[in-house]
Amino acid sequence: MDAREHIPFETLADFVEGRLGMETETRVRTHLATGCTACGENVRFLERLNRAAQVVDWPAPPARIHRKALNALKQHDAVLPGLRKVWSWRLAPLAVAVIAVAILVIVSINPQPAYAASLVSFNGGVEVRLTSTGIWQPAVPGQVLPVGTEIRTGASGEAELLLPGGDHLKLASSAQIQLDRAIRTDGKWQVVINQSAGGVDYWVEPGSEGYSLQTSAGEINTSGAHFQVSVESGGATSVNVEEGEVKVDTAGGSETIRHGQSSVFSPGGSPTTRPEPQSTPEPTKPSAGSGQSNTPHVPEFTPPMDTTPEQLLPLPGLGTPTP
Amino acid sequence: MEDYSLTDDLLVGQCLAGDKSSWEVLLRRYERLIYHTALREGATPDEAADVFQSVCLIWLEELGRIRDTRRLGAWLVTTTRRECWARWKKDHTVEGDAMTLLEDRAGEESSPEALSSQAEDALLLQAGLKELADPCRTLLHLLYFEPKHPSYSVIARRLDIPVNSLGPTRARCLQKLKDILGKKGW
Repeated sequence: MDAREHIPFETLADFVEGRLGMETETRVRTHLATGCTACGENVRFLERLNRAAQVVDWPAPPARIHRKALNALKQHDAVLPGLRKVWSWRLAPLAVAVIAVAILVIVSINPQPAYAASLVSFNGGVEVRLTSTGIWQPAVPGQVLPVGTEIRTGASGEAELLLPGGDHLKLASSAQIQLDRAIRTDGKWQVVINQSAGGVDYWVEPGSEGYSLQTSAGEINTSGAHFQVSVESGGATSVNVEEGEVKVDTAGGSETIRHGQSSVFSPGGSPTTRPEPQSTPEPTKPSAGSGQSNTPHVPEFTPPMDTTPEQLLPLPGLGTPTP
Repeated sequence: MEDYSLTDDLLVGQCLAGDKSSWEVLLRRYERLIYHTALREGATPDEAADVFQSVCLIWLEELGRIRDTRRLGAWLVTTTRRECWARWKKDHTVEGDAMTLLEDRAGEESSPEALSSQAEDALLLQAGLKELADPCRTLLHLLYFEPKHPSYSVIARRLDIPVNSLGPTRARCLQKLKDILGKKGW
């Protein structure tokens, strides 16, 4: 037999069981020592088979002991049967209720941030600050922004956001907002945004409810309008309405600003509205997923990371109405 | 007749629901492993019977807490050994931790995992044999699973084939069994 020749399965079976004569066994060992994969695999299988077959020689416990063990389940049941039945049929609803209450308590203690907007597109330096991290980080295309998130644009940045109700907004350069609230009630979204700096173009779909924009000078509410808001250093706010109407509430009074009108108001003051439409640069109406370039992070964000909103001024290229 | 398709996980679940037949299947599946382990630890047959009963009670108590049923066999071996040593310690003065002494004594081959694998392989092997047709099934059963280990001549008479053809027939049958077990992840 050539040492390279495969060993017949039958011979390997005898080899594993120690039935071979010394000469044949030596030949088999010599062949296996060459590292033959196929024969080595067959030997391992046969050894494992023989080991498993040894189990038949393991004695079973005496029949009376087997019966006792079998009955042990009945005895075991006798100790806890009531509890098991009560658990199965009576405690289960209670357990469900307890778990539900626990979840509510946990959620109320540490509410999960709700989805408030998604970052449809952006150019230039744009950063977001999530409440969970508390630090400014470069925005990511398509990023989902939870309630509480702040967004700011750099000197050459701009960003377009889509809100869950279908409303859009577009931040011009050096602008900053915070998504304060976005909840759905009776099928309609209530959105609250706090704008602290720069110019932002808002498209609020007609029929919207509870769309509220807050600045340090007052509050702007609308149920459908296209308008721009600019917040200057010191909080002075200007509103320019292109379509629909908005209502401005300030410490000094309220006023409705209609299509073609602009209004300016400062913290503690009342709104001053000009009846004549102001000429403003035409903003480009965004469309969600319209394929605008989503430049990921461009490291040209000029303000330092600890820049305050006021320091982000001078303010945007949106038209500032003349008082 | 044992149904090999029933997994330990399923059987434990049914057992916890109070299904006695599942407990019986589990018991038959592992009773030899427990009893054999006790005997290997030096227990007399009577002592091994006592240990076996204690282990079964512990098993039932812990049934709902065994998280990984894939290691049930190894857990039973360890539990049996602990029971043996607890009894042995009660009757003798032992210095040091019983389990450390036990582990020192146990070789690699007798590790809980090795013993448990051996028992599981035996179950898988029997399941594989069932898929073989005769004469292979009977031949391999007589060769490997007949406790009396009948001689070749007895097997040849039983199968009504010449003794000198037993070797080649066994080789063919083992090859078929290997294929079947290979599909079962052996």
